[in-house]
Parts: sequence; structure tokens; C-alpha cells
Amino acid sequence: MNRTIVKHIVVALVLVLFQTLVLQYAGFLSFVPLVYLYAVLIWPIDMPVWRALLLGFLMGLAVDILLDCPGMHAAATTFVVYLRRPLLRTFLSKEETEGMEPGERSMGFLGFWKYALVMILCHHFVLYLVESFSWADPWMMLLRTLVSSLLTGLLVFLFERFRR
Amino acid sequence: MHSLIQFLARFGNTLLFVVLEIVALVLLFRYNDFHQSIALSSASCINGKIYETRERVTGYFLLREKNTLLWHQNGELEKKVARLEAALRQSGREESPLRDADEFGYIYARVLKNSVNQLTNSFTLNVGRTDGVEPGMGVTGPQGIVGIVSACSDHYSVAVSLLNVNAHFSCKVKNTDVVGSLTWHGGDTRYGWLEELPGYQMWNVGDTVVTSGFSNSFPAGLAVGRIESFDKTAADNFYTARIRLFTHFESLADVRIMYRTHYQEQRELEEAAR
Repeated sequence: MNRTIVKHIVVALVLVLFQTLVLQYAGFLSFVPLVYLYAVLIWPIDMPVWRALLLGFLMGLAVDILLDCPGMHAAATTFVVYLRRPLLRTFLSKEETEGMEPGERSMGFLGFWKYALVMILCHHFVLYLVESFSWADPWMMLLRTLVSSLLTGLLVFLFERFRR
Repeated sequence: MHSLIQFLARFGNTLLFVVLEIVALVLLFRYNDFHQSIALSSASCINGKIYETRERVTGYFLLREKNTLLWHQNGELEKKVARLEAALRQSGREESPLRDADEFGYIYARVLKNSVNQLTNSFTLNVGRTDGVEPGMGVTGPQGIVGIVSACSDHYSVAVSLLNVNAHFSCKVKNTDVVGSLTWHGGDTRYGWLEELPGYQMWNVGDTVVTSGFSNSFPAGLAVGRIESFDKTAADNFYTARIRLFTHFESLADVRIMYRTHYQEQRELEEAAR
């Protein structure tokens, strides 16, 4: 158990740094893939919710601090971490096994992608909604949500190809 | 006691979720306080180091050195021009008024980290309080103003970019007294908006926009951009002009921080008067 938690913290750290030091500069206009979310997607199904919430919040806060945008990523990530359990329960077709990590292999292609896409869309939507509170342009916000989700989805797809 | 434990077992996670969300939103709505607390921004020691390392990896080394040298020389030349213009003016030959030659000095800095794809963009610089930087100082790039320093640690500082929907810069149309407030509406990094402009007979599409000099951060007359088109707000009599910004924010690398040479004196005076 301890080894898994260490592994997931390391994955989270690497993805946060990859996000803030590389990806943040790879986007065009205001569309950016937010791939640190992948760490949240693959946490074990039976990870205690309180631990997932804290980890998700800290991860979002780390991104916020590195990007100088307080609270946004923390709010969005905490939100989808809270959604994770019910979503997994909905889309999990097979039996839940102990310590299972969501993925194409463990959940089946369709099962995983339904779960992943809903997570990604919700995360990006909350993020851009929270970001634009002081400034209203709903169409731009929706466009950013959709395009960025697409970019994130593509990267998650790539990551899944290289997974074990 | 028993019921409390039962309650926590049942709703503990939801409670934790709500608390964390509230913390996040408090941070969000206290954006400026967040910037004041250095530890939570990219001016913090660890963060600064991370970005400094990154910049060292990404910067093209030889090109950068040459570029910085040129940038310094350019600054000196600009100062010389300003001094000459001041001399011209004093001797009675009217010259288009620029800045008072020695009122402002420069601190040269490199951009370690720069964001352009958020709504509240900012950038991190490799100089801090020990180099004489203070919050409120203006930052200019090769093509014009780029932002205002908002927080400093000992060795790093964070500046609010021009590309920030919450930031407003006092600007005017060159060679006129038409003053407006420059801001950004998100999205396209090439355009800013000059708001609260009076009747359009006083200015034209194609006019250059410069700083007004009404703030302590910038002297008057620094380039900003060019008026490209305009809109009239339905509610009142003011116009909003779309400004093509001179600076390419994506490739921000070398900048200068402007400080007033008599700032210290002014501050001491203000302290004493209090």
C-alpha cells in the first residue's frame, strides 16, 4: 500500500512539472492540454476518498503556485476527485478488484474512455468557469473547455498506449 | 460524541471536499493577497530556482548573451536621446515631449517564466529586492511596456502582464491629450483594448498609443500599440478602441524594470510627512 502511494505521488509530481514547465508553453492561443489530470485518472479505485481529495487539492495548488493563478486548478481538481468514485461506479462494467487502477486494460476501452472523458470535460469546464468569474464570455469559455479537453484527451490516449 | 463520529464517518469526505473548495475559492478571490504572499507565487525560492533552471535549459546561450548586450546598449542610447531632447527643449527649440531624461533609471532583467494563455497572465523575473526592485515598478520590453511588478522576493519578482483582464494601464493617444485605460479581454495576445475614450474626432484609427505618465510606474510617452478599430459603448458616450500591441508577449525574454531615481527620496519624504 505504501509503495503505491509513493508511486502515485511521484507520478503526480512529474506530471505537474511536465504541465507547468513544458506543456504550458506548447498550447496555442488560450488552448492548453491539462495533462496533470492523468495522475488523478489512474489512482487506484479503492484509494480512500479523503486521501484522494487531499492529494488532488495539493496537486492543483502546486500547479496554481507554479503558474501564479491561485485556487483555480485546486478548485477544479478537487471537484473531479470528488466526482471520481460515483463515476467509476457507473462506468465500471467488470467486478471491482482490490487495488485496481483505472485504465483501458482494466476497465475496457469504452469503459475507461467514458470515465476519462467525463472527468476531463468536468475538470476543464470548472477550471475555465472559475477562471472567468470576473469576466463573462460564455462562448469563449465553452470553446476553451472543448478544445483543451480534446488536447488533453489526445495526450491521455498517447499515455495509455505506453502504459505497461 | 458517538453521533459526531457517526456523522463524520458518513459525511466526512463531503465535508473535506467542501472545505477544500472553499479554501481554493478564497485563494482565487484574494488574487492580489496571493501575490503578496511570496511563498505561494513563482517568486518563492524553490519556484524561482525551478524556473531559473528551465530558462537556462531553454535559452539559446550565445544568442541570449549577445541579445542582452544589445539590449543594454539600446537602453543607454535611448537615455542619451532623451537627454538630448531635454536639452533641446530647454534651449527653447520645441521637440516632441518625451520623458524627463534622468527621472527614470533601468534595472535589466530576464524573463524566467511567462504565461500568455490564462486570463490573468504574469511573468517571473530573475531580479528581486536585493537588486532594488519594488512592487509597483513598471516593466518594459524592446517594443514597449509589458507589465507592472506585483511581488518581490529577495532574488525574484513576479509582474502582472499587460495581458491580464484585471490590470489597467493609463495610456493616451500620442500627440493628444486623449487619455484612456488600457486593458485586455482575454484570448488573442496581439490585441488590447483602450477604454473610456472620448469622442473619436480627437483621434483616428492608426494613431499610436503611448503611456500617459499619470502613474508612478511609467514615464509618459512609452510605446504601447496602435489603434486598429473602435466601438462605441451603447450605455454611455465613451469609445473603446482595439489596440494592436507592439510587444509579442509569447517571446518575451529581456526586459527593463523602470525605477524613479528619486523614488527613495520621495518615499522618505512621504514617510516623514505621515
